[in-house]
Amino acid sequence: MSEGRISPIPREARTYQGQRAGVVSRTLACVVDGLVVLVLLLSCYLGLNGFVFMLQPRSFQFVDVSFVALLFVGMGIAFLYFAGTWTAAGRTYGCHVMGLRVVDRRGMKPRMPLAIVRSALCVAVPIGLFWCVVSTKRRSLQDALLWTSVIYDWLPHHGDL
Amino acid sequence: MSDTTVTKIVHAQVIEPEPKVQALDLAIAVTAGALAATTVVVHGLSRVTVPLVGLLVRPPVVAPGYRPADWLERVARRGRQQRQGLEHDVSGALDRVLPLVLAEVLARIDLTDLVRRHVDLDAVVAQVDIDAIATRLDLDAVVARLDMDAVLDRLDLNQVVTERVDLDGVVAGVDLDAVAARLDVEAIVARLDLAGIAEDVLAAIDLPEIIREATGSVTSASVRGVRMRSISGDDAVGRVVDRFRLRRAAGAAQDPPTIDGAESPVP
Repeated sequence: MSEGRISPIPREARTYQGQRAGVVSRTLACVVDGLVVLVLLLSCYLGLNGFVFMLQPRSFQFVDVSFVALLFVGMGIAFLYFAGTWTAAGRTYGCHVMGLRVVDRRGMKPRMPLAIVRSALCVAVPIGLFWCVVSTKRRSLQDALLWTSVIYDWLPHHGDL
Repeated sequence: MSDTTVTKIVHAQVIEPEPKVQALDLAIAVTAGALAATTVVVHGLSRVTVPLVGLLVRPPVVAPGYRPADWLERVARRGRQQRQGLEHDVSGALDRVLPLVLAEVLARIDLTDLVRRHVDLDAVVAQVDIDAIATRLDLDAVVARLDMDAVLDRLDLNQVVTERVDLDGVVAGVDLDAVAARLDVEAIVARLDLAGIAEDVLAAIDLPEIIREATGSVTSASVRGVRMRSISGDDAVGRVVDRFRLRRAAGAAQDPPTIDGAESPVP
């Protein structure tokens, strides 16, 4: 945010803007993102069943999907969801709710290749998030590998800070 | 020898006039005696001569106009006219001569020093009625001749007011409410370009962007509460980890690290 403007951020939160987020905020954001992925997965499942219903309405039965298949589909949805939102806005919906933003080593919104790689790493090794607990710079495993960061940013647009 | 005799002898010895002065004193004494004798004789003769002279100058048998007294009166009238002419001539001569003489005299004496030595100025001034003089003065005319601008230029009015005027007391005595009541606030506001000011303020603070940001990011109080609690949780976890790690000072744990370890926000 440029100097001289009135900040909509509460006074007590202004000092944290731009600083790296800790494990609690990031975990809560991941929980929200997980719910989003679940909703998307459920939507895909319902859509698949609807498609099957339209093909065989009389002999329709819910598609029986194995847990492994659901897991892989869910991981794929999460991969696309993370990569797309980070490329488009630099934040997922969970990050938006918690006031977080993913930035690259220059503090800018990650580009598509970086977002894709980070998304793949997050989906493959989700427990890597908790590396930020022991990291002196609050970096997760993915952040440490890709030189990215997750910061507090309550403003909607990147670069407002 | 008595005291009187001694005094006379001493007086005779001390004040012994010169011979010329003694002669002058003798002449004066003789003249004075002669005058006194003449006065006595004339006074005695006048008792006899005055009625006789009156009878001679105004004989009863002579008609008026032909008496000696009338002739003497005409002669006296001519003498009076001659005297008045002489007085006029003398006065004119004095008018011409005296200024010259006085100028020559004053040029040869220091009149100021003369007055200072021989005139008791204090006594003279003490008898002057200064109040009466001041009463007769036209002070308005005196003040009108004053160059007030020059007088004010020589005065440091700021210093005078600062040192001699109780500004707090003056202000305390002012009824500010009454002053404010007399102000025509509407006229003052009417002179302001409120529309222009409002446009400038809105341009400076970018109000639409603020509204957009406020509604887009900082949503509800509950979301703000969750965010602040999560930030507090981040700090608490960080402090616990730092305590176990024993690598940071307690003060450093208060401030969450920024990108690349810097304290400033992300560029």
